[in-house]
Amino acid sequence: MRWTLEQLAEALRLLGSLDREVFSALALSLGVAALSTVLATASGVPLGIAIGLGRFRGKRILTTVLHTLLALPTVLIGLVLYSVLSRRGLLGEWRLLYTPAAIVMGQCVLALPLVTALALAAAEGVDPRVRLTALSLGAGRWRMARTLLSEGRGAFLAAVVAGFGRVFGEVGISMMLGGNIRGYTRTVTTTIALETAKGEVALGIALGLVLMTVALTVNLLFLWLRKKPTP
Amino acid sequence: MTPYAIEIRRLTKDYGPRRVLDIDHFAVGTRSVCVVVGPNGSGKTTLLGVLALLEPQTAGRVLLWGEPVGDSPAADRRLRRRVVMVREQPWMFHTTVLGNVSYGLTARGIGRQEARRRAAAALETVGMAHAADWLAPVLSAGEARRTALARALVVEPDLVLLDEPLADVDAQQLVNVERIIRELPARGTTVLVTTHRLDAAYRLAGRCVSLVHGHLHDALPDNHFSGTIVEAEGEPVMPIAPGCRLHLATPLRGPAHVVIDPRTVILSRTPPASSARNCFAGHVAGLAVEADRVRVTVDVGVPITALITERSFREMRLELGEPIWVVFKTLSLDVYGGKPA
Repeated sequence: MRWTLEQLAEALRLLGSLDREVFSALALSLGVAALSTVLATASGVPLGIAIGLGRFRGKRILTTVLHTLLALPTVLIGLVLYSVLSRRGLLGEWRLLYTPAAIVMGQCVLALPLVTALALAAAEGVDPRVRLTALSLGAGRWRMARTLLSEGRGAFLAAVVAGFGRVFGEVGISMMLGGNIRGYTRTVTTTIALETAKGEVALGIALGLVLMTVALTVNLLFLWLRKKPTP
Repeated sequence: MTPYAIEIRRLTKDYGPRRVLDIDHFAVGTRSVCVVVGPNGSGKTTLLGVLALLEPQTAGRVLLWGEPVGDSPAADRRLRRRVVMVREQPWMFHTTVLGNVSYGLTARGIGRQEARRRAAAALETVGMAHAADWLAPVLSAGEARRTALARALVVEPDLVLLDEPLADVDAQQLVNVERIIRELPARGTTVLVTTHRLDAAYRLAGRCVSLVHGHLHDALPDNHFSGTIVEAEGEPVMPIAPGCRLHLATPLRGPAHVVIDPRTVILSRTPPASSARNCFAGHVAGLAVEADRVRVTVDVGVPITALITERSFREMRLELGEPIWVVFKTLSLDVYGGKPA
């Protein structure tokens, strides 16, 4: 117990002396997480809305598959994409392995089922009168989509936040596809893993605190967006 | 060119095994107001939903200005732009009242400034100009209805479908809203209104139809009774008040609705000696003169309305509170719902 408290105290002390390398890792973490969240949102939200509002055969099975994909372990995603992106893999010629782009790809695969499943639930949760009212007032397809997103924005934002949270805190994909290359593919989570393996537990905790602070800031931003009335 | 804005032919609408609409023929002329009166669950909202192209019918034809609904998505989109439905509990988008009212205009590609100008004028008409900048979801039920009416009318539709537009509207605004609805045909708009308020129905439209258990009834929408058909002394009856039961000629039993055409109800000062199975003693509870007819409401434990000519009324010299008998034949009762015995 005493050792843990000492490590925590040391971590707090280290927060004031974090070097440029840490901020580079933080910037990369934020960058890849934001990009993969944007990509997963751009595809997952329309997909979730289409499944949620659609009436088609196999909807229940598709939903079950989607929910099963939520349990995808990051290591498995990393492994599969590794085999695809490695030199002898299907997309080996693209030379993406151990690049930030590879991390983004992996994180997209990780976030997509989550964002889609939550967007689906959000679309189903929107009052049916929203769609009927918009339709009756002459809304076309795009206006309808905008209206649905606006009226259910709390739930849709929750889907985006959950997607961001999932990828921002993951380590398996970043490690396997990024390779933890200093100054290039080293993210906050891979740094924590590395420092902890070296026995630098206090530094690991300090980085964890930084990670959580950034996550809190992002969530506060989403909270503000949620409360903001539509102009 | 068809004289009808709405024409329905052999329309049915089912929700699973339940049939909610079963209309043989119904037509509403262009630039007119028609009121559909019916109890809750009679299918009024579903009818409006089908006419607004928001719900597909199960079978039958719906024609709007002679054009069939459901034949092609492009035609449906075109027709939908001419029709607006205002729901009984309208959805208010999470924006300002002004933003809500300008929604239909901006959806039609009208510029934001112009849309807001027209929306403000529409809000003025329904007495909601003071609330233009309020957030719409906080409006009271009556305010939301008036805002929804403005939101519908601002796009100048050819057909307006209003589901219970007068519910929760305060007395002062009721007169205003009724006036707006009555004036719509002069602007070229056809109006179909649903309500369960008979007084409002008569004030709003020359034509009223009743919808009971999914069936449209051309009789004036008085004398709706809901109850259970049971067997008594070997014949079907429906108790509607203590000591008052309707004698029916139907093989149906169980929960059902009965409609009595007020034109078939006979009034008599003395106990009638006739073959009619339904004779009830009561007293005159209401008199209303309508053109050349008089609507006489007789309280027999429940109000039963008779429609008589002005001449009959003069000859009978009816007065409020006076004892009177009402008589009608079992065959003049229409039964909806119920199940075969």
